[in-house]
Amino acid sequence: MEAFLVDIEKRAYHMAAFSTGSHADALDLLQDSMIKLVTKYQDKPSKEWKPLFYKILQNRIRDWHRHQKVKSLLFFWKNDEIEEWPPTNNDDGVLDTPEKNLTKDQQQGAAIEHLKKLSPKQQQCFLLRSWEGLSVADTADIMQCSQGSVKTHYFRAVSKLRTMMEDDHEITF
Amino acid sequence: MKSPSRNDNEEKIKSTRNEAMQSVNSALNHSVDTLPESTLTDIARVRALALNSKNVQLNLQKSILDTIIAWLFNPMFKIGVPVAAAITIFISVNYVSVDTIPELPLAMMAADIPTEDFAMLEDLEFITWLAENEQSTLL
Repeated sequence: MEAFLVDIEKRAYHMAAFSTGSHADALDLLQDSMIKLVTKYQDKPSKEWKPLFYKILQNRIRDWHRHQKVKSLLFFWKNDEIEEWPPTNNDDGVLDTPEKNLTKDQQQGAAIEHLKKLSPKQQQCFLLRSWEGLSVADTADIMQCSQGSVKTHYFRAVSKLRTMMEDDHEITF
Repeated sequence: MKSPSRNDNEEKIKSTRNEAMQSVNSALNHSVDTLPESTLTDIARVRALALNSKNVQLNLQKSILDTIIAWLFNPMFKIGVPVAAAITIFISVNYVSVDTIPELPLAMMAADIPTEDFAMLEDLEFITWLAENEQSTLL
């Protein structure tokens, strides 16, 4: 179990942080998900852990969004400052080939920004399908929707990303 | 059958989609690889806490079980339970519920008997006897 958590934790944190935009909330969600997996599903076969863990995490993220929605309705006059995530790190070390690395960093930063512009469902679908490499069936189970919806979300996400990247570089892939 | 140009277009779209996906995936991987040290420490702490939670839960269950067992084999409990059981049985056997007292016979409730005669029927046993008689005659 520990090896599994070590393997998955960074990406899971990244996913939670990406969705919530907050380091502290992402850690809370990650902790809740890990605790639930360890206490409730440790006895399950290890190959089931990954989809189970992501299902728990996505449920937590969904709950967090609901909670935020209610909170913003109830305390509409409060303007909570959400910390920027991922944090911009300008002291990223000395680069051997500055121009090359700068371009690469810019491209990667732009890709992340494009991903942020997608709808939450599309983001979620892209991260699970493309980044985590989960099957359509597993993704549908995690997202609690049909496999057809997953395919649609994924197709739209990829198409949007492609369009945004093309617009960015004024090129056609 | 698809025309060659259409096939080329489809291939092109497919490859551009793959490129876009790869580009975003590599950006995400890079982002994960360059997480700050403080974040990595926090994540490790969270993991340790989660892994420990199982042990904490097991210890809690074990301690609850131990407490119950210790309580069951406590000498006070050994004496207390039979005494409490005996008291409960005694009370339940000797308890006379209000419901067991039969109602006044219907004949007595009728207008034939004057109201002042009821004063004579203070004794509950007499009323009971009358009720029993009433019931037996009805049967």
